[in-house]
Amino acid sequence: MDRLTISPCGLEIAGLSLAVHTYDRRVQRGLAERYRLFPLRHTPRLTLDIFCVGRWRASALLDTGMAFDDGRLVFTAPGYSGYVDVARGQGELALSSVQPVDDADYFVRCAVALLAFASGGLLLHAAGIVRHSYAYLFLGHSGSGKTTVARLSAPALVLNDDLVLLWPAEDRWWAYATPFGNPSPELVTVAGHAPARALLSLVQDREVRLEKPGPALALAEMVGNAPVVSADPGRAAALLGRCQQILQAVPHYRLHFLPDDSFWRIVDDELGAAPGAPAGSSGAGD
Amino acid sequence: MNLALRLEPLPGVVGQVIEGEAVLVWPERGEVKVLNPVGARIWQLADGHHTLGDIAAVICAEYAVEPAQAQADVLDFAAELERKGVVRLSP
Repeated sequence: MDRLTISPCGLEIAGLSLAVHTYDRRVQRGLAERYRLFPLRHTPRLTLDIFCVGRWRASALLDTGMAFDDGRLVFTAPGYSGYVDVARGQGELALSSVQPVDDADYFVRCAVALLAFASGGLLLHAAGIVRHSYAYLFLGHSGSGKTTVARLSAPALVLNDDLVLLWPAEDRWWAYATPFGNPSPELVTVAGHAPARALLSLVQDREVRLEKPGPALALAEMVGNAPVVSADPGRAAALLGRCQQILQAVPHYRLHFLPDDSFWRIVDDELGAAPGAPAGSSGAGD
Repeated sequence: MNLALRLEPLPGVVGQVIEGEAVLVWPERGEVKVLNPVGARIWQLADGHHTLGDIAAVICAEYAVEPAQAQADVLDFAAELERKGVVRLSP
């Protein structure tokens, strides 16, 4: 079947390549704009077809009816119906929305999360900030302070203030920028990556300190910040294993912080220089 | 609720014991929980074969707890896990 499309858009992050086909110009242009810094350069490993069929969903915040069916991610909410099948390299979404670009972007984010996991990586709810050529990942759900930490870290390179890809390469874990952030004129998304130095779970507090939790708590906090994959019972055991694998290489802490940039002094003092200098990292900044 | 009941995780709940603690994942509810060492040990024994009485005996022996206390704690813990939809109890 010929795909109905104006022209495909897509994205590529750390070798994860995904194409989006849609006949809806607004969605095509909107996604192409959002993903412009992550152009698709190689044959896509996953192709998504998005059909815009109406304007039923009044908000992109409505439930999408996400569930899993034998490894396939399915969406069954009114106005949001479709699936992502990473094993077959395809997905489809029938979308009826007044905010189709946001809704389509959410579909793409879910697909990237699954593709990343299937390929050995992990998408994390984290703000990724590059400092002294290493990436610090600040974990936390909405309201935890990820965007605040990102804003307070200027002029450091912000990979993203909400979703960062962890990717294994050259015997270490790398943090990659993604286009899936919280829209803000103050934070400019740049496509970059750097070796992951530490995972820092954010704790809003009246003092600034680093806490080293036990391995079980570290694992729980990491699993809890792995979107989409953590909702699949069929992937739960593998997710635990993946997170443990990452934690063996990238240390985890709880960062108690104030709404200012004082946390960086603590991080620099206590974490210090990373073991082993990077061989070279494109886009890493200070 | 009695000590003759057997305890086992519900399908879809996945657990991993790390350095004496347990991480439990409920994907369909989007929840993750950490059990302390005693809770983790009970979780390890929740295999559908051990009765709550068997589990209490193990806790009593391994943690130097009085049998009555161990039994009460195991019953309470099992009831809590059942209430939260983590385990099922069967004769």
